[in-house]
Order: sequence, then C-alpha cells, then structure tokens
Amino acid sequence: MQIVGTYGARYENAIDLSALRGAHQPQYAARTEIAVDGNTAAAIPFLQWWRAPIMAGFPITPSTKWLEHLAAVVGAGKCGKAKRVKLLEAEHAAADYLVGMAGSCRELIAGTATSSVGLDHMTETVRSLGASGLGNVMIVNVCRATANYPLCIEGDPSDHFAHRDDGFIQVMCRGKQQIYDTILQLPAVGMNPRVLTPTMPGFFGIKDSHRSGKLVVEPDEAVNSFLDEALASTEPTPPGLLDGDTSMGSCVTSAYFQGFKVGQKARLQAALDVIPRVAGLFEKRFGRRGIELFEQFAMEDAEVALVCLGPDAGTAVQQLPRMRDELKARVGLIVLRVLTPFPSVALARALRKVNAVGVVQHAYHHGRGHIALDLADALAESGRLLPTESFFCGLGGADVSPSTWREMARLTVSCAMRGKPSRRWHLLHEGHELSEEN
Amino acid sequence: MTSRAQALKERLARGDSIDLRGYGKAGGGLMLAVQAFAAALAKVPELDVQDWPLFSSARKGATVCAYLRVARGKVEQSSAVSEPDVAVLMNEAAAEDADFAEGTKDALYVVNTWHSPEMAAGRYRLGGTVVTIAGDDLGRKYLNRPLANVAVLAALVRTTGLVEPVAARASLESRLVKRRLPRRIVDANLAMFDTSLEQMRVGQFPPAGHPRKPFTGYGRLPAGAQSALRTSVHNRTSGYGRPGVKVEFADPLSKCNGCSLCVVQCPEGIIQFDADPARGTLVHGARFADFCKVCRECVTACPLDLFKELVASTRPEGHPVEA
Repeated sequence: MQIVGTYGARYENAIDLSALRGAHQPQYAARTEIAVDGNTAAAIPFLQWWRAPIMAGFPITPSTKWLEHLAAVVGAGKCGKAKRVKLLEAEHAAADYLVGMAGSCRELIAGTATSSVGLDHMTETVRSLGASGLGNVMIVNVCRATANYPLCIEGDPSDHFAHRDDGFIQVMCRGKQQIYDTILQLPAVGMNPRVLTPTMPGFFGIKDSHRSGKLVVEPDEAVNSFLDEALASTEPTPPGLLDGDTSMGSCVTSAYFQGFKVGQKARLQAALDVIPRVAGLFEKRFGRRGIELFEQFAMEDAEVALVCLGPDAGTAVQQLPRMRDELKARVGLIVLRVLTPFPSVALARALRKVNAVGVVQHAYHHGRGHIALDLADALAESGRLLPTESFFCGLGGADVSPSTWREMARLTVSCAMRGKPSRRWHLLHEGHELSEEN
Repeated sequence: MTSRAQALKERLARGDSIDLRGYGKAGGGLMLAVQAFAAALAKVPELDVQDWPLFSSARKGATVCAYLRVARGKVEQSSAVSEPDVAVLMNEAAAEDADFAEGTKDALYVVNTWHSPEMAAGRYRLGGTVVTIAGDDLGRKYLNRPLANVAVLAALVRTTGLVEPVAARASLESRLVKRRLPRRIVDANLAMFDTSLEQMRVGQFPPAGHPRKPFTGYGRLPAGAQSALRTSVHNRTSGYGRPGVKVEFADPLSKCNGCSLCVVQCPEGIIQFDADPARGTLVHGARFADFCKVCRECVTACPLDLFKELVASTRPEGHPVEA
C-alpha cells in the first residue's frame, strides 16, 4: 500500500534558487594553496557553496573558529547579501534551526559545527534529524571528549561515538585537505535520493582543528559544478522544494514506526554504494582521492594489521617501516574513514589475509571498544574469527607517541603468534601499559 | 649562513623533519610567533609544515606549548614534538613549570631573556646554539607592553635560515591584519621585527644532555583527585597569572595585623594563614605558584602593603635594552 508519493507534496519554484545562485560571490576564482587550520578548512566549503546561504551555530571549544571564520568573512561583506551567519542561543536551537532550514528547501545545505557537549545538547533534534531524510543537513563535529568528569577540551572522538547511532553518515577525517575534500563531497552523498541521510564529518579537536598547514582550495565554480553534476546524475532526481514529509514531531503507531525504520536503514546502507561513486567523480574532477571507506597502508602483503582512525594515524604511517624492521613482521595499517554505515564487508575483505589485528581506539568504552565490536561483527559476518588485540590510547586527546604505536604493533604480532589476545584490552601511553590487569 | 642554519638545511635535505617546540604563557604571543613562522615556511613550495598548540581550558598566563614540524615532502608524523631541533622559551616563568629543553642534546635554543647566551646556557644547562633576545624590553619600547613574540619570531627567522626575513615579515603582517589590529599597531610590530633581526646574541656551547623524563604513570587518580589537580602546578590548567608579573607576600617583621581582608578578598582561596590568639588570622603566605592569576585583590586589600606585584624575572644590572 502506498499512502504518499515518494517525497510527498512538492512546491516547485517557491524559492527562487536561480536568484540565490546568481547572488553568490565566489571566494576563490582559481585553485589556490593557502595555510590554514582544520576549523578554517571545514568552514571554507560553506563559503563556496551557493547552496549554503545561512550558517547557524553556537560556539564551543574546539569548534569555535569554524563559526568565527564564517562570521568574519560574511561580516566583512565578502559574500555580499547572499550569506548570513546566525548565532543562536544554544546548540539545541542551532539543531532546530537546521531542521527548519533544511526542511523548507532540500536544494540547500544546512550546516553547523559543534563539539562534545554541544553535540550532546543537540541530541533530541539530532536523533530526529538522523531519521528525517534531510540529507542536506551537515553537522561538522570537532571531536572532543564528552565524558566530562573531569573536563578536558582536547580531542578524542567519544562524542562522535556517543552519537554513532543517531542515524547520520559519519566520516572521520585527518588533516586539512581531507577535512576540506570530505566536506565538499558529503552533500552529494547525503542528498542522493537513494540515501537522503544527514551527514556528520568529524575531525579531532586541537590535533586537527588547531593544526595549521597547507591546503589546496578549489575554485568556487568547480566546487559548485561538482555538486551539481553529482546530484544531477542521480536517479531518481533528488526531492525539490518544501517537501511534504519533513514535518517533525508527528506521532505514529508502532506499525508505522517500524516501517519508517526499514527505509531509514536501507537509505543509510545505500551510502556505501554512493560514496565510491561520488569519490570517483571527485577524483576525476580534482585529481585527489575522494572519500575512501578506509585508507590502507602497506596492506598488500600484511600479515598483521593495525586498525585506527584520526590524526594520530599519521605517526603510524611514518613508523610502519621501523615497525616492520624491528619486529621482522609485515605490519599493515588501516585508517577508518566511514564509521556509519560501518563498511563491514569491505573491511573483512581487506583483512582476509592477516593473522591478527590490533584495534586502536581513542574513545572511552566500557569494554573492548566501539571499533573492536564493529570489527568483530564484520569478521563474524564474513565467517572468520581473527585474534584481535584491543588498544586504547590518546584518551582526552593525549599524545600518541611513536613508542606507543610500536608497542601496539609488537603486541599485535605476539597476538598473531599466540592465536589470541594477551588481555581483554590495553590502555597505553608513551609505550607503557596503564590499565590494570583485565 | 651560520653552521646551525646549515645543519638544519642538511637535515631537511636528508628527508628528516625539523621539529620545534616552544613554551610560553597564554597571552604572551607564543602561538602568533609560531603560526607566523609556519605560514612563512608554508610559502616555500618544497616544504610541508604543520604547527599546532597544546593548551587547556586555562586563561591568560597559564603555561602553554606550541609545536611545529617542517620537512620536504609530506609531514605525516602527528605526535607531539618530544626531541626538538629548535627549542623556544617565550617566557622564562614557563621554565618554572617545564624543562623547555627536555629531549635535546645539541639543539638551537631561542630564549626571550635579558641574559646573555652564556648566562642562559648556564641557567638552563643548554648545549648547542643559544640565542637570546631581550624581547620584553623591545616589546615595551615598540608596543608599550612586555610582548616578546615578534622579537622571538625574528630570532627564529635569522638563526634557522629556513625562510627569508622579508617573507616572514609579510607573514607576520598578514597575521596581524587578519586579527584586525589598527594599522599603527601593525606598523609598530613590523618595526619591532626589523629591529629585532639585529638584536639577538648568539653563543655556541658544548652539547649538554636534557634526556626525556621517562613516563612513570599517573599514580592513583580517584574521582575526587580532580579537585586537587585543579590547583596543581603539574596540571597545565593552573598557572593562571598574567605574563611578566607575579605577586609576592613578604612579612619579615611579622607586621600582619590579622585583619583577614586578603583571605576574604582572594577569589581563589590560596592565602595561607594560622589562627593567632592575639591577632586573629595571621597570614604567612599564599600558594601563588598554584593558582594566582594576579588579580591584585590582596595587593589592594592589605592595609600594611605586605603583598606586592613584581616583575616575574629579574633583569641583570646595567644590561642595555639595545646593543
């Protein structure tokens, strides 16, 4: 029984999008290399998209500069009258604002950035958003510890993992270029009619948000035509203006609730098909790798693998030759990008030849860790049991030193030889075990 | 080109990174100096550079740290700089909280101080190339404030030889303009930069070991320990005082009249006292190093002027501001 049309009622031309597009003032006319921090890299796409006329937010460390940069550029008149920055009274209000804006026009991108308890404060609305079908919503999460006893403003992704079941497409980034490129691509994923799921790019607070370095910025014309092309090539075409089934707060009986969840799960899983297509188009356009489900380093011949995410992976990449040399073992590295939907099948395939895996996690968890559980599920689904060491390090944004990476590699190699992990989990710092026997 | 600059260039040519670590006090301009240096390096096509801070929820005056890593090709390593090739001390008060030279043996040290390289090398046990510059004095002269960041930037540019002074000057100007400072302040900073290029003093010293302290764990941290950590010098969220000044309590003649005004006024509760049957609340000191943010409430409240605000480090007698 079909009770409504695919997208509900449509109100074509209620908003003059061509006028909005025409009013856009390009920020970059040509490919430009600049030196910026991660927050700025995350803000620039919102200045470049004609589809992002209003940016809403509330400041919280370490994401504040995202909002400050947008406000400074818009306030200086560099965007003409085509853009506005709305400072709202709290994060909950910012999330509500996204609902109103995104729901009123699905052609536009409604975005904000937040962090830690700021994301927590959005929870009620974010959980509704995740199921709403509003794929044009983007919440940039600048990861910061959210178990705030005691308070710590440095970056760990416990906030991101606390919200992994909110229904968003979560993609983790490391480095300014990956942050910028990922944000450029994600609307093409979220707004795809097969997906229609809001997106949450994430990057670590301080370690990435406040780390400055080179960034290649693409011209506005190319940025916008890439998104236009990515959306135009979808079938069916995305829903248009003022969509009829984006009302929030409606109450249904359980029978219908379950029915909606069928669609929500299917849309989220469809992202695993859509991401590679968008990434392929991005690479063709800009010559850089698009969003990968995960990055792989030295995995071609690896006999053990470390699986991790975030900026500390860079140290692991740099340490791989030394790990291999000292341990006389072929150590490989997988850096996760797409967290939800979890790329179970692809990950199990990438790990099919290794004898043990070490899962490196930065977020507090009661047991073996969020990633360890997802990975175990992925391996079980593939019919394989793989000895897995669970590591915690960098909690609260603590430094993850080269010696810590080498120790994790050593323990993973030992795990492969023994055929089982040495502990339920390890908590390491400066190469030393912190956790009591478990 | 100095031999140190030549050694750094050779290090880059070998494919190694040059790692810089700086210590200073929040509000003292350490971040601006390192960011301006990094932005200038980023203009060099063959170099990749990353710079990032380490700070917490501390306010102005807390000890902060800045890192910079530069290399030919991509800088992948993201961990903290633990064995710096270049160690910067922006504020000598920060050296009371941390060994700014930890992990070095034969490095380039840039120290904002009135002292000579010889005195700085002796005070901090430095081996290698020691560069000192009287940044606070230059800041007072050009900016009317003891702000040394521009002087330290100039010293870094001159002694590392990694970037041309004109490029660093442009980078500094860009950073200052971006912060929307009035033009006259921007010009004063640029004039200070130009002068500072010629103001540093350089000394060479035999290598001296500053081995890294091994990590020995955190000890027991029950949930209640965070209250104690709040005022601990080991936790970087303390050290809240304004840079360049400190408060001292001195009562050698035991003049305290027990009025307790300072105890009542101190917002941090760090005044130390004993109950005295004759005089009441007899003050004998305060935990300045832990949590004093130099609000001056005690200085103002004390009817006997037993609290005084002082310059944080002592300048050697007769040392000229300019060479």
